[in-house]
Amino acid sequence: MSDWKDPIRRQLADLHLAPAREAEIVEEFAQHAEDRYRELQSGGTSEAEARRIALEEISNRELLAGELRAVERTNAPEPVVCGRGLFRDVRYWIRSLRKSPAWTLVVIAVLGIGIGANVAMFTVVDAAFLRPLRLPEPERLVQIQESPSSGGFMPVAYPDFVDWEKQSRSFEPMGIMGVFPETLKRTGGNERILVGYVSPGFHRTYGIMPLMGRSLTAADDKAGAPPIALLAHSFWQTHFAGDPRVIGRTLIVDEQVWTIAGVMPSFQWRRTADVFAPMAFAQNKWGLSLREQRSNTGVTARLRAGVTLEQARAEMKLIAARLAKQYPGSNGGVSAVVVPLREYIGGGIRQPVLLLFGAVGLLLLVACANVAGLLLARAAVRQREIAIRTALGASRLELVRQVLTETLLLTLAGAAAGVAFAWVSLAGLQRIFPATENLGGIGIDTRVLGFSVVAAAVTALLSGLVPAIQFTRSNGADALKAGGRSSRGSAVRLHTRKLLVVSQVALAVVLSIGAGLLMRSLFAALQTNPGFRPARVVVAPILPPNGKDADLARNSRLLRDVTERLAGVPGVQAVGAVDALPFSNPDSWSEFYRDDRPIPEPGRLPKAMKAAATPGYFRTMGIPLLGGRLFSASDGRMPPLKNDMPALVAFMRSAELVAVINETMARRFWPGEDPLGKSFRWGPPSMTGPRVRILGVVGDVRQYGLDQPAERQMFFSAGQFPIWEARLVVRTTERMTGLATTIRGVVAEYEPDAVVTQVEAMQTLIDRSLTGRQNNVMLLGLFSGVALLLAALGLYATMAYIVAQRTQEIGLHMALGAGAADVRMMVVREGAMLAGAGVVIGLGATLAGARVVSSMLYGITATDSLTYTGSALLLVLAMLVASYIPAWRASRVDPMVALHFE
Amino acid sequence: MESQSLDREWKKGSAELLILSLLEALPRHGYEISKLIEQRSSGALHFHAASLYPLLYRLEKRGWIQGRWVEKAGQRRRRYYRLTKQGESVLASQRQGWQAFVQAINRITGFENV
Repeated sequence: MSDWKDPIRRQLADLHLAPAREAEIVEEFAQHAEDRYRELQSGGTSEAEARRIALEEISNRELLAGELRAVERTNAPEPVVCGRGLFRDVRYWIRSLRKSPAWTLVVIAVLGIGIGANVAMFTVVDAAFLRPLRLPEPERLVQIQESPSSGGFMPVAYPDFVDWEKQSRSFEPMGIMGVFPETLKRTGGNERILVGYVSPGFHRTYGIMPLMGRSLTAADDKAGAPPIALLAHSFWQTHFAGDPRVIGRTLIVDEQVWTIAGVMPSFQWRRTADVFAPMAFAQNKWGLSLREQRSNTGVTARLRAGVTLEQARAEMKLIAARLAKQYPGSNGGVSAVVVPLREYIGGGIRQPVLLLFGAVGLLLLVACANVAGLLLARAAVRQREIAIRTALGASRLELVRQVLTETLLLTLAGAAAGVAFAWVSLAGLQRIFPATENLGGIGIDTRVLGFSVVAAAVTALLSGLVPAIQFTRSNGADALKAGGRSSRGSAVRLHTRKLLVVSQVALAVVLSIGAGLLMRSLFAALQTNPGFRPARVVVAPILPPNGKDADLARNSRLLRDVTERLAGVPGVQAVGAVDALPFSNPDSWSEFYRDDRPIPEPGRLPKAMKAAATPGYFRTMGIPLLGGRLFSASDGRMPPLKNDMPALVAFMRSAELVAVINETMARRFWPGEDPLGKSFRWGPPSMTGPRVRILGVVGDVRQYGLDQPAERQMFFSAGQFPIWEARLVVRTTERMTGLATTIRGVVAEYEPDAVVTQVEAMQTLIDRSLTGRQNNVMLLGLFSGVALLLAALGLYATMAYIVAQRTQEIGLHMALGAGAADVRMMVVREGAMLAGAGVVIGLGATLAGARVVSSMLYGITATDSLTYTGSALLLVLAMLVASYIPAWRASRVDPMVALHFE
Repeated sequence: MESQSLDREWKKGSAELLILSLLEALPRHGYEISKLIEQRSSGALHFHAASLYPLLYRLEKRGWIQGRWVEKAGQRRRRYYRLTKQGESVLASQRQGWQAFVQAINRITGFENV
């Protein structure tokens, strides 16, 4: 008897019946088998044969399981989404996946790429736009800037800030910081550090309390107060190894002894300062008491509780208008602009971030379409299996649940792969968007995980629902009869798959055109002439001592001596120096006005970039002299000049200077005239600046980057004009090793306290300026490459499916005399039509949305026909390859086999 | 497709009716029922154990028949099924339609595809 029971038990194992119930069924079946066995034996059948027949008659696992499940289910209705049913679905899924591991891996990988790219980009979008700043009540923080009537923004003049603070009622408190380089005396050499001169309310505005010690008070910010300093967290770590007993120790900055009063915690934004000191220390030296001095400052304020941004804007506009009336020379036409701090910080990366986010969004769509196609292909394969289960009593709900469970599990696996992928790519993103540092860095947090789960759920719905619905619509009997072929359900499915392929191709076209446009922009930028010859030019930043008692004429002499001495070094072709070198963030705009014309209204004064250079600078950089002459010794030299603002202003008011201007400045301000010998006044009229005579005109140089336009520029003579820091440029006849050491040696010989920071090739600076553009090209190129690959895979799978469906038809064609080439043509033509439709839709969509990228392009338009044609050709080519493989397979169909297929 | 699903429903219904009518006279066990169906249809109808017993359980669940373990002297215990009151009335109502299909039933072949 036990002989029968075991095989029956095995058949029932999957059903997980209650033990008592299972025992009953087993006993009943065993009795049946026993009866049959005895009957056969008594009819003369041999014992072994009788056993075999009886066993066979009770063995039909699938049938039994199906029938019993349908009956026993009603015993205790199973919950639909959880419990045993779900467990069974999961087991069923794992079992069925084991049969097709490649398919599973492809689905998970495709989803992983789509979701991962989205999660990674979301972390950046999150940092830039969504996440509150990690500061107390960050929504109340605003940045206030000044804006001239000609548009744009300028740093805030300190006296304006003082007036704002006094007159405004919308903020509590308001803070200003001006960051300036100072010399820190250390044993073993000086160091240039950045000092943030702040008003007493600065840290309070951010809501930051010192980590230890105290913060600044109004008493500290007075002329004659004992000098104190607060250390930035990073500076405390690097210079004092985080020593907790640092309070009361001293720093020697600018030849003065500063007592350390506190250490600030590492806080977001304003990472630029190493040490904070009261504003009062810098007022004379950096000219901060002048309303005309607008540089290196930033004003942050906290909205008083209950005050709206609009109210604050209106008030600041009023105050600015009042100041403009009061100080027309410096403030005429100048208004105050209030922007939320988060917008101010995130503004710079908004466009590339949104573009890339859009791109990965498209990629996710392609991935979804692709996965949907893969699921549909699987649905076709499994149609017969589903049909059997339907016939055996599996309900619609059960089938949909199972399909959705499978899809969900796949999506979850894909999401897990995606998060892993995103994690890996975070470091790269941080490099591409360094601004995210200021926003508190990027990292996968719970909200990002939430986003990926939502992305996964959307994917599951998009790609799982269609096959699920089609499953339940499919007709069981049909499927059983025809083995899944040529039924109505599969026609609908084929139609859906074709639509999916068309949309994938279209999306891939959009992405590849976007990548193509950016790539062509990069090439255009790379081929742009910067206006100088960077080859074999080495740059050495040189920082002379800049204490209050330093003589600025000494800096001028130092540059002359060092350049003359280096010019004599074998292998050196030319040497020069300049204080604002292109491609190294030169930001030195200043106002001027022609003195042979009426003085323009304040706020409408012309502006140009200002630099001070030695004559050797132009020769070294290869900047052509277009007319007139360069500086010479006969132009006069700077008298001894103290390094503080009142002395400087006095000097400027009395000086007669010479300058060389660039072509753009000449054309713009002396149109149709010869500027040589003409003169202008430097600085705003309220300052009564020096008269400047134009000696010569030089070629334009791109200052900000290869993809940025050349700006108007004036060069003063380094022999006449005060310079605080400069960059030596050295052109050599060949690559020189040890040049940096030579430069440092020569500089130290003339000025032991001067600091020479990193020596680099000019080309390195140029390359660095294109990093952002290169990164965009790389990322978008990567995305479009993946999209192209996915679209090609999608088309391949669909064509392979079509060929499999039409084996008979193809066989018939061939039996009727069609050649292999005809068959191949037939399949390729069908693929080409799908690809063609996708390409046309993609081209149309891109043309419609081209405006989005136009401002990121350089040297080409957003509708550049070459890029569009190239992308379309690339796509068509890839699609032809993708459909050729199934076509080739189709042409090898054996007509006889195909016709006997049924 | 129309005719196919009708066929399936009808086949299922007739199997139920067959079982109910076999149990009308006296309780029987599963093996006996399968033998009787085979004999009375002259071998044209054959139920696999894997579909017969689930069908019995289904009828039992509906309350049309009731199974009971019976131990007879010298034999192992068997499960006997008998018609319930509800089963009797179902049988009566279905029988009215039955007559119309008798001819058709006699011609049915191919049930082995169940």
